[in-house]
Amino acid sequence: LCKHSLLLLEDKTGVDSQIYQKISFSLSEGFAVIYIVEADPVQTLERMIQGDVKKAKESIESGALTLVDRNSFYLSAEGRFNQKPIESITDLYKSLSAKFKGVLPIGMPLLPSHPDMSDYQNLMVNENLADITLQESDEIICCYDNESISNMPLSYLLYLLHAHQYLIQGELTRYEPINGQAFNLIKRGLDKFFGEESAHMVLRTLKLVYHMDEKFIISNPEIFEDTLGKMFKRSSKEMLSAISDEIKAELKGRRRKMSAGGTGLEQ
Amino acid sequence: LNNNYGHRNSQGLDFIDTIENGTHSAIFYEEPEYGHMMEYRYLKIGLLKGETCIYTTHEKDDVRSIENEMSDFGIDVDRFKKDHLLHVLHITDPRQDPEGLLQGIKNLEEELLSKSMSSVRIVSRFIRQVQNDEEKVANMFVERTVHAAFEKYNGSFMCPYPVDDIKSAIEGEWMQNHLRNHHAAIFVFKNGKGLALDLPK
Repeated sequence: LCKHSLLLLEDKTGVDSQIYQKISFSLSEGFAVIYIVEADPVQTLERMIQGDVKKAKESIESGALTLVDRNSFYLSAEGRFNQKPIESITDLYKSLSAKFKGVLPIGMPLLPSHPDMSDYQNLMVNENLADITLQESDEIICCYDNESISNMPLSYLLYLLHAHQYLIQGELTRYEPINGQAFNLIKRGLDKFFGEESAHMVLRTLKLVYHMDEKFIISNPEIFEDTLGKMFKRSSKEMLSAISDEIKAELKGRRRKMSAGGTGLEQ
Repeated sequence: LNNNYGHRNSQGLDFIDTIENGTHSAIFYEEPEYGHMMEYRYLKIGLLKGETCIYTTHEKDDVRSIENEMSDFGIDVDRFKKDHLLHVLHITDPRQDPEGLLQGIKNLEEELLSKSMSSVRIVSRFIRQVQNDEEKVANMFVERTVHAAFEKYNGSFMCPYPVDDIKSAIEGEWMQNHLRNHHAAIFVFKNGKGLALDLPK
Protein backbone atom coordinates (compact mmCIF):
# COMPACT_ATOMS: atom_id res chain seq x y z
CA LEU A 1 0.00 0.00 0.00
CA CYS A 2 1.02 3.59 -0.60
CA LYS A 3 2.70 5.02 2.45
CA HIS A 4 2.59 8.74 3.15
CA SER A 5 5.08 9.26 5.94
CA LEU A 6 6.50 12.04 8.03
CA LEU A 7 10.18 12.25 8.82
CA LEU A 8 11.49 14.70 11.41
CA LEU A 9 15.04 15.91 10.89
CA GLU A 10 17.35 17.64 13.34
CA ASP A 11 19.13 19.53 10.58
CA LYS A 12 17.21 22.06 8.53
CA THR A 13 19.56 21.68 5.54
CA GLY A 14 17.98 18.27 5.02
CA VAL A 15 21.32 16.46 4.74
CA ASP A 16 20.77 13.09 6.39
CA SER A 17 22.80 9.94 5.92
CA GLN A 18 19.83 7.73 6.72
CA ILE A 19 17.81 9.24 3.89
CA TYR A 20 20.72 8.36 1.61
CA GLN A 21 20.54 4.77 2.87
CA LYS A 22 16.84 4.73 2.12
CA ILE A 23 17.45 6.10 -1.40
CA SER A 24 20.15 3.52 -2.05
CA PHE A 25 17.91 0.71 -0.83
CA SER A 26 14.93 1.88 -2.91
CA LEU A 27 17.02 2.21 -6.08
CA SER A 28 18.40 -1.29 -5.57
CA GLU A 29 14.83 -2.60 -5.23
CA GLY A 30 13.86 -1.16 -8.60
CA PHE A 31 12.13 2.02 -7.43
CA ALA A 32 12.61 5.47 -8.91
CA VAL A 33 13.40 8.28 -6.47
CA ILE A 34 12.55 11.97 -6.80
CA TYR A 35 14.63 13.78 -4.20
CA ILE A 36 13.56 17.34 -3.27
CA VAL A 37 15.25 17.85 0.08
CA GLU A 38 18.51 19.70 -0.51
CA ALA A 39 19.20 22.95 -2.34
CA ASP A 40 22.01 22.35 -4.82
CA PRO A 41 21.71 19.19 -6.99
CA VAL A 42 25.42 19.20 -7.96
CA GLN A 43 26.60 19.30 -4.36
CA THR A 44 23.86 16.88 -3.38
CA LEU A 45 25.13 14.38 -5.93
CA GLU A 46 28.68 14.67 -4.55
CA ARG A 47 27.41 14.14 -1.02
CA MET A 48 25.37 11.12 -2.13
CA ILE A 49 28.34 9.51 -3.86
CA GLN A 50 30.48 10.09 -0.77
CA GLY A 51 27.65 8.74 1.31
CA ASP A 52 25.74 5.53 0.77
CA VAL A 53 24.34 6.21 -2.71
CA LYS A 54 27.37 4.86 -4.58
CA LYS A 55 25.45 4.46 -7.83
CA ALA A 56 23.86 7.91 -7.69
CA LYS A 57 25.45 9.11 -10.94
CA GLU A 58 24.43 5.97 -12.87
CA SER A 59 20.94 6.19 -11.41
CA ILE A 60 20.57 9.77 -12.59
CA GLU A 61 21.72 8.73 -16.06
CA SER A 62 19.24 5.85 -16.16
CA GLY A 63 16.45 8.15 -14.95
CA ALA A 64 15.93 6.25 -11.70
CA LEU A 65 17.15 9.13 -9.54
CA THR A 66 16.00 12.71 -10.02
CA LEU A 67 17.51 15.47 -7.91
CA VAL A 68 15.37 18.60 -7.74
CA ASP A 69 16.56 21.87 -6.22
CA ARG A 70 14.39 22.33 -3.18
CA ASN A 71 14.39 26.13 -3.43
CA SER A 72 13.32 26.26 -7.06
CA PHE A 73 10.70 23.56 -6.44
CA TYR A 74 8.99 25.28 -3.54
CA LEU A 75 9.64 28.89 -4.62
CA SER A 76 8.70 30.63 -7.84
CA ALA A 77 11.17 32.67 -9.88
CA GLU A 78 9.82 35.77 -8.11
CA GLY A 79 10.68 34.25 -4.75
CA ARG A 80 7.07 33.58 -3.80
CA PHE A 81 5.86 30.23 -2.57
CA ASN A 82 4.64 27.97 -5.32
CA GLN A 83 1.01 27.16 -4.76
CA LYS A 84 1.10 23.72 -6.32
CA PRO A 85 4.72 22.71 -6.86
CA ILE A 86 3.78 19.05 -7.01
CA GLU A 87 2.06 19.72 -10.34
CA SER A 88 5.46 20.53 -11.85
CA ILE A 89 6.58 16.91 -11.45
CA THR A 90 3.34 15.23 -12.47
CA ASP A 91 4.59 14.36 -15.96
CA LEU A 92 7.88 13.10 -14.58
CA TYR A 93 6.02 11.03 -12.02
CA LYS A 94 3.80 9.46 -14.69
CA SER A 95 6.74 8.51 -16.89
CA LEU A 96 8.63 7.03 -13.93
CA SER A 97 5.58 5.06 -12.83
CA ALA A 98 5.45 3.44 -16.27
CA LYS A 99 9.10 2.40 -16.19
CA PHE A 100 9.83 1.45 -12.58
CA LYS A 101 8.43 -0.80 -9.88
CA GLY A 102 7.27 2.25 -7.95
CA VAL A 103 8.16 5.85 -7.24
CA LEU A 104 9.51 7.34 -4.01
CA PRO A 105 9.28 11.14 -3.83
CA ILE A 106 11.11 12.59 -0.82
CA GLY A 107 10.42 16.27 -0.19
CA MET A 108 11.17 18.83 2.47
CA PRO A 109 8.72 21.74 2.26
CA LEU A 110 10.32 25.10 2.49
CA LEU A 111 8.90 27.58 4.97
CA PRO A 112 9.91 31.17 5.62
CA SER A 113 11.15 32.00 9.09
CA HIS A 114 7.80 33.63 9.91
CA PRO A 115 5.25 31.79 7.80
CA ASP A 116 1.67 32.93 7.71
CA MET A 117 -1.36 30.74 7.33
CA SER A 118 -1.48 31.03 3.53
CA ASP A 119 1.94 29.33 3.35
CA TYR A 120 0.56 26.47 5.40
CA GLN A 121 -2.52 26.31 3.22
CA ASN A 122 -0.24 25.84 0.22
CA LEU A 123 1.50 23.03 2.02
CA MET A 124 -1.81 21.36 2.74
CA VAL A 125 -2.79 21.59 -0.92
CA ASN A 126 0.46 19.89 -1.86
CA GLU A 127 0.15 17.17 0.74
CA ASN A 128 -3.33 16.44 -0.59
CA LEU A 129 -2.15 16.48 -4.19
CA ALA A 130 0.61 14.07 -3.26
CA ASP A 131 -1.96 11.63 -1.93
CA ILE A 132 -4.10 11.94 -5.05
CA THR A 133 -1.14 11.51 -7.41
CA LEU A 134 0.46 8.50 -5.77
CA GLN A 135 -0.31 4.94 -6.70
CA GLU A 136 -0.59 2.01 -4.34
CA SER A 137 2.94 0.75 -4.93
CA ASP A 138 4.44 4.18 -4.18
CA GLU A 139 5.72 5.74 -1.05
CA ILE A 140 6.17 9.41 -0.20
CA ILE A 141 8.27 10.85 2.59
CA CYS A 142 7.76 14.41 3.78
CA CYS A 143 10.63 15.80 5.83
CA TYR A 144 10.26 18.59 8.37
CA ASP A 145 13.00 19.92 10.60
CA ASN A 146 12.73 20.63 14.31
CA GLU A 147 12.63 24.38 13.86
CA SER A 148 9.75 24.25 11.37
CA ILE A 149 7.77 21.99 13.68
CA SER A 150 8.37 24.35 16.60
CA ASN A 151 6.95 27.30 14.66
CA MET A 152 3.89 25.55 13.30
CA PRO A 153 0.37 26.65 14.26
CA LEU A 154 -1.87 24.08 15.88
CA SER A 155 -4.01 23.60 12.80
CA TYR A 156 -1.05 22.59 10.65
CA LEU A 157 0.32 20.24 13.31
CA LEU A 158 -3.08 18.56 13.37
CA TYR A 159 -3.07 18.46 9.62
CA LEU A 160 0.33 16.75 9.61
CA LEU A 161 -0.95 14.07 11.96
CA HIS A 162 -4.01 13.55 9.81
CA ALA A 163 -2.29 13.60 6.41
CA HIS A 164 0.53 11.20 7.23
CA GLN A 165 0.05 7.56 7.99
CA TYR A 166 3.40 7.01 9.66
CA LEU A 167 6.18 8.75 11.51
CA ILE A 168 9.63 7.50 10.57
CA GLN A 169 12.89 8.28 12.25
CA GLY A 170 16.19 6.66 13.00
CA GLU A 171 16.48 3.64 10.77
CA LEU A 172 14.24 4.44 7.82
CA THR A 173 12.95 0.89 7.69
CA ARG A 174 10.95 1.53 10.84
CA TYR A 175 7.52 3.16 10.66
CA GLU A 176 5.16 4.03 13.48
CA PRO A 177 1.47 4.79 12.79
CA ILE A 178 0.49 8.37 13.69
CA ASN A 179 -2.70 8.70 11.70
CA GLY A 180 -5.54 8.79 14.22
CA GLN A 181 -3.50 10.21 17.07
CA ALA A 182 -4.61 13.82 16.69
CA PHE A 183 -7.84 13.63 18.66
CA ASN A 184 -6.22 11.95 21.66
CA LEU A 185 -3.50 14.58 21.71
CA ILE A 186 -6.10 17.36 21.63
CA LYS A 187 -7.85 15.75 24.61
CA ARG A 188 -4.60 15.34 26.48
CA GLY A 189 -3.61 18.96 25.82
CA LEU A 190 -6.96 20.32 27.02
CA ASP A 191 -6.97 18.20 30.17
CA LYS A 192 -3.43 19.26 30.99
CA PHE A 193 -4.23 22.92 30.51
CA PHE A 194 -7.67 23.15 32.11
CA GLY A 195 -7.64 20.14 34.42
CA GLU A 196 -9.14 16.67 34.38
CA GLU A 197 -12.52 16.22 32.65
CA SER A 198 -12.16 19.55 30.84
CA ALA A 199 -11.51 18.00 27.44
CA HIS A 200 -14.81 16.10 27.65
CA MET A 201 -16.69 19.32 28.41
CA VAL A 202 -14.98 21.31 25.69
CA LEU A 203 -15.32 18.66 22.99
CA ARG A 204 -18.92 17.94 23.93
CA THR A 205 -19.72 21.65 23.70
CA LEU A 206 -18.06 21.80 20.29
CA LYS A 207 -20.34 19.00 19.17
CA LEU A 208 -23.56 20.32 20.72
CA VAL A 209 -23.16 23.96 19.81
CA TYR A 210 -20.93 23.97 16.73
CA HIS A 211 -21.73 20.49 15.34
CA MET A 212 -18.03 19.67 15.33
CA ASP A 213 -17.35 16.00 16.01
CA GLU A 214 -14.04 14.14 15.94
CA LYS A 215 -14.17 13.57 12.20
CA PHE A 216 -14.95 17.22 11.48
CA ILE A 217 -12.23 18.48 13.83
CA ILE A 218 -9.56 16.28 12.29
CA SER A 219 -10.62 17.14 8.74
CA ASN A 220 -10.98 20.88 9.40
CA PRO A 221 -8.17 21.81 11.80
CA GLU A 222 -8.27 25.51 10.88
CA ILE A 223 -11.96 25.83 11.76
CA PHE A 224 -11.32 23.89 14.97
CA GLU A 225 -8.45 26.19 15.97
CA ASP A 226 -10.51 29.28 15.18
CA THR A 227 -13.56 28.05 17.11
CA LEU A 228 -11.51 27.00 20.12
CA GLY A 229 -9.94 30.45 20.10
CA LYS A 230 -13.39 32.02 20.25
CA MET A 231 -14.53 29.72 23.06
CA PHE A 232 -11.58 30.74 25.20
CA LYS A 233 -11.09 34.34 24.21
CA ARG A 234 -9.24 35.23 27.37
CA SER A 235 -6.78 32.36 27.30
CA SER A 236 -6.86 31.16 23.72
CA LYS A 237 -3.19 31.77 22.94
CA GLU A 238 -1.92 29.83 25.94
CA MET A 239 -4.48 27.07 25.48
CA LEU A 240 -3.72 26.55 21.77
CA SER A 241 -0.02 26.51 22.62
CA ALA A 242 -0.67 23.86 25.25
CA ILE A 243 -2.26 21.55 22.66
CA SER A 244 0.49 22.31 20.14
CA ASP A 245 3.12 21.53 22.77
CA GLU A 246 1.44 18.21 23.45
CA ILE A 247 1.66 17.28 19.75
CA LYS A 248 5.26 18.45 19.43
CA ALA A 249 6.24 16.56 22.58
CA GLU A 250 4.57 13.42 21.23
CA LEU A 251 6.35 13.68 17.88
CA LYS A 252 9.72 14.37 19.47
CA GLY A 253 9.17 11.70 22.12
CA ARG A 254 8.41 9.09 19.52
CA ARG A 255 11.42 10.11 17.52
CA ARG A 256 13.69 9.62 20.52
CA LYS A 257 12.06 6.28 21.27
CA MET A 258 12.52 5.11 17.72
CA SER A 259 16.06 6.44 17.48
CA ALA A 260 16.81 4.31 20.52
CA GLY A 261 15.48 1.24 18.71
CA GLY A 262 12.04 1.40 20.30
CA THR A 263 8.67 0.05 19.29
CA GLY A 264 8.37 1.13 15.67
CA LEU A 265 6.67 -1.25 13.32
CA GLU A 266 8.84 -3.16 10.88
CA GLN A 267 7.61 -2.67 7.33
CA LEU B 1 -13.15 32.87 46.81
CA ASN B 2 -9.49 32.64 46.10
CA ASN B 3 -7.45 31.57 43.15
CA ASN B 4 -7.36 27.96 44.30
CA TYR B 5 -10.70 27.57 42.58
CA GLY B 6 -9.22 28.31 39.20
CA HIS B 7 -6.55 26.45 37.31
CA ARG B 8 -3.01 27.69 37.11
CA ASN B 9 -3.31 29.57 33.86
CA SER B 10 -6.64 28.66 32.40
CA GLN B 11 -9.93 30.29 31.63
CA GLY B 12 -11.18 28.87 34.90
CA LEU B 13 -13.30 30.50 37.54
CA ASP B 14 -11.52 33.83 37.45
CA PHE B 15 -13.59 34.16 34.26
CA ILE B 16 -16.36 35.41 36.60
CA ASP B 17 -14.38 38.60 37.16
CA THR B 18 -14.23 39.38 33.47
CA ILE B 19 -17.83 38.75 32.40
CA GLU B 20 -18.84 41.71 30.27
CA ASN B 21 -21.99 43.74 30.47
CA GLY B 22 -24.64 42.24 28.19
CA THR B 23 -23.70 38.63 28.92
CA HIS B 24 -26.29 35.97 29.59
CA SER B 25 -24.40 33.21 31.37
CA ALA B 26 -25.26 29.84 32.91
CA ILE B 27 -23.37 28.40 35.84
CA PHE B 28 -23.56 24.65 36.49
CA TYR B 29 -22.20 23.49 39.83
CA GLU B 30 -21.96 20.14 41.57
CA GLU B 31 -21.51 21.58 45.09
CA PRO B 32 -23.94 24.32 46.18
CA GLU B 33 -21.26 25.84 48.40
CA TYR B 34 -19.00 26.53 45.44
CA GLY B 35 -21.92 27.64 43.30
CA HIS B 36 -23.06 30.24 45.84
CA MET B 37 -19.50 31.52 46.21
CA MET B 38 -19.36 32.10 42.47
CA GLU B 39 -22.74 33.87 42.46
CA TYR B 40 -21.72 36.16 45.32
CA ARG B 41 -18.38 36.88 43.70
CA TYR B 42 -20.19 37.83 40.52
CA LEU B 43 -22.54 40.17 42.42
CA LYS B 44 -19.79 41.67 44.54
CA ILE B 45 -17.89 42.72 41.43
CA GLY B 46 -21.04 44.34 40.06
CA LEU B 47 -21.75 46.15 43.34
CA LEU B 48 -18.22 47.52 43.46
CA LYS B 49 -18.77 48.84 39.94
CA GLY B 50 -21.93 50.62 41.08
CA GLU B 51 -24.30 48.27 39.25
CA THR B 52 -27.72 47.35 40.60
CA CYS B 53 -27.49 43.69 41.66
CA ILE B 54 -30.45 41.37 42.09
CA TYR B 55 -30.45 37.89 43.61
CA THR B 56 -33.67 35.91 43.60
CA THR B 57 -34.98 33.04 45.66
CA HIS B 58 -38.20 31.02 45.53
CA GLU B 59 -38.23 30.66 49.31
CA LYS B 60 -39.54 33.75 51.14
CA ASP B 61 -37.85 32.66 54.35
CA ASP B 62 -34.46 32.42 52.68
CA VAL B 63 -33.97 36.13 52.02
CA ARG B 64 -32.40 36.86 55.40
CA SER B 65 -30.12 33.81 55.39
CA ILE B 66 -28.92 34.67 51.86
CA GLU B 67 -28.08 38.19 53.00
CA ASN B 68 -26.16 36.72 55.92
CA GLU B 69 -24.21 34.45 53.58
CA MET B 70 -23.43 37.44 51.40
CA SER B 71 -22.15 39.31 54.45
CA ASP B 72 -20.00 36.34 55.40
CA PHE B 73 -18.63 36.41 51.88
CA GLY B 74 -17.53 40.00 52.35
CA ILE B 75 -20.38 41.92 50.77
CA ASP B 76 -21.44 45.00 52.75
CA VAL B 77 -25.11 44.07 52.50
CA ASP B 78 -26.48 46.86 54.70
CA ARG B 79 -24.60 49.56 52.80
CA PHE B 80 -25.55 48.30 49.37
CA LYS B 81 -29.18 47.80 50.35
CA LYS B 82 -29.26 51.33 51.76
CA ASP B 83 -27.84 52.60 48.47
CA HIS B 84 -30.56 50.63 46.61
CA LEU B 85 -27.91 48.66 44.74
CA LEU B 86 -28.51 45.21 46.27
CA HIS B 87 -31.88 43.47 46.13
CA VAL B 88 -32.46 39.95 47.42
CA LEU B 89 -35.93 39.18 46.15
CA HIS B 90 -38.48 36.48 46.65
CA ILE B 91 -40.00 35.52 43.28
CA THR B 92 -42.80 33.24 42.17
CA ASP B 93 -42.38 30.52 39.58
CA PRO B 94 -43.82 31.89 36.29
CA ARG B 95 -45.70 28.63 35.73
CA GLN B 96 -48.01 29.77 38.54
CA ASP B 97 -48.92 32.95 36.72
CA PRO B 98 -52.66 32.87 35.93
CA GLU B 99 -51.90 34.30 32.48
CA GLY B 100 -49.61 31.44 31.58
CA LEU B 101 -45.88 30.72 31.47
CA LEU B 102 -44.94 33.23 28.75
CA GLN B 103 -46.76 36.09 30.47
CA GLY B 104 -45.31 34.89 33.78
CA ILE B 105 -41.81 35.26 32.34
CA LYS B 106 -42.62 38.74 31.05
CA ASN B 107 -44.07 39.80 34.38
CA LEU B 108 -40.99 38.56 36.23
CA GLU B 109 -38.69 40.35 33.81
CA GLU B 110 -40.62 43.57 34.35
CA GLU B 111 -40.41 43.16 38.10
CA LEU B 112 -36.64 42.65 38.04
CA LEU B 113 -35.89 45.38 35.55
CA SER B 114 -38.03 47.90 37.47
CA LYS B 115 -35.36 47.91 40.18
CA SER B 116 -32.98 50.00 38.13
CA MET B 117 -32.85 52.36 35.21
CA SER B 118 -29.10 51.85 34.89
CA SER B 119 -26.94 48.77 34.45
CA VAL B 120 -28.24 45.70 36.24
CA ARG B 121 -26.64 42.39 37.25
CA ILE B 122 -29.00 39.52 38.03
CA VAL B 123 -28.57 36.04 39.50
CA SER B 124 -31.84 34.22 39.01
CA ARG B 125 -33.52 31.03 37.90
CA PHE B 126 -37.18 31.56 37.19
CA ILE B 127 -38.24 27.90 37.45
CA ARG B 128 -38.10 26.86 41.09
CA GLN B 129 -36.29 23.57 40.58
CA VAL B 130 -35.25 21.66 37.47
CA GLN B 131 -35.42 17.94 38.07
CA ASN B 132 -38.29 16.21 36.31
CA ASP B 133 -39.14 16.41 32.60
CA GLU B 134 -41.93 18.95 33.01
CA GLU B 135 -39.62 21.27 34.94
CA LYS B 136 -36.86 20.84 32.37
CA VAL B 137 -39.18 21.66 29.47
CA ALA B 138 -40.42 24.80 31.22
CA ASN B 139 -36.88 25.79 32.13
CA MET B 140 -35.66 25.37 28.56
CA PHE B 141 -38.54 27.55 27.37
CA VAL B 142 -37.64 30.23 29.90
CA GLU B 143 -34.00 30.26 28.77
CA ARG B 144 -34.94 30.47 25.10
CA THR B 145 -37.40 33.29 25.81
CA VAL B 146 -34.96 35.30 27.94
CA HIS B 147 -32.08 34.78 25.51
CA ALA B 148 -34.08 35.66 22.41
CA ALA B 149 -34.80 39.15 23.72
CA PHE B 150 -31.77 39.68 25.91
CA GLU B 151 -31.20 43.22 24.64
CA LYS B 152 -33.92 44.38 27.00
CA TYR B 153 -31.65 43.56 29.95
CA ASN B 154 -29.39 46.54 30.27
CA GLY B 155 -26.76 44.44 31.99
CA SER B 156 -25.88 40.83 32.62
CA PHE B 157 -27.79 37.81 33.86
CA MET B 158 -26.42 34.65 35.47
CA CYS B 159 -28.61 31.53 35.63
CA PRO B 160 -27.56 29.15 38.41
CA TYR B 161 -28.01 25.37 38.05
CA PRO B 162 -27.11 22.84 40.72
CA VAL B 163 -26.27 19.59 38.91
CA ASP B 164 -25.41 16.20 40.40
CA ASP B 165 -22.88 15.28 37.73
CA ILE B 166 -21.89 17.84 35.12
CA LYS B 167 -20.21 15.26 32.90
CA SER B 168 -23.44 13.27 32.60
CA ALA B 169 -25.63 16.35 32.33
CA ILE B 170 -23.78 17.63 29.28
CA GLU B 171 -24.99 14.63 27.30
CA GLY B 172 -28.64 15.65 27.39
CA GLU B 173 -31.02 17.88 25.47
CA TRP B 174 -31.42 20.16 28.48
CA MET B 175 -27.75 21.11 28.53
CA GLN B 176 -27.70 21.41 24.75
CA ASN B 177 -30.55 23.94 24.99
CA HIS B 178 -28.66 25.94 27.60
CA LEU B 179 -25.38 25.95 25.69
CA ARG B 180 -27.23 27.31 22.68
CA ASN B 181 -29.13 29.94 24.65
CA HIS B 182 -26.43 31.61 26.73
CA HIS B 183 -23.38 33.70 25.87
CA ALA B 184 -21.18 31.87 28.36
CA ALA B 185 -21.21 28.64 30.34
CA ILE B 186 -19.36 28.08 33.60
CA PHE B 187 -18.86 24.60 35.02
CA VAL B 188 -17.82 24.18 38.65
CA PHE B 189 -16.85 20.65 39.60
CA LYS B 190 -17.01 18.89 42.99
CA ASN B 191 -13.37 19.65 43.66
CA GLY B 192 -14.02 23.38 43.35
CA LYS B 193 -12.20 23.69 40.07
CA GLY B 194 -13.93 25.02 37.02
CA LEU B 195 -14.03 25.80 33.38
CA ALA B 196 -15.65 28.69 31.55
CA LEU B 197 -16.60 28.79 27.88
CA ASP B 198 -17.56 31.69 25.66
CA LEU B 199 -20.47 30.66 23.45
CA PRO B 200 -21.57 32.11 20.12
CA LYS B 201 -23.23 35.53 20.35
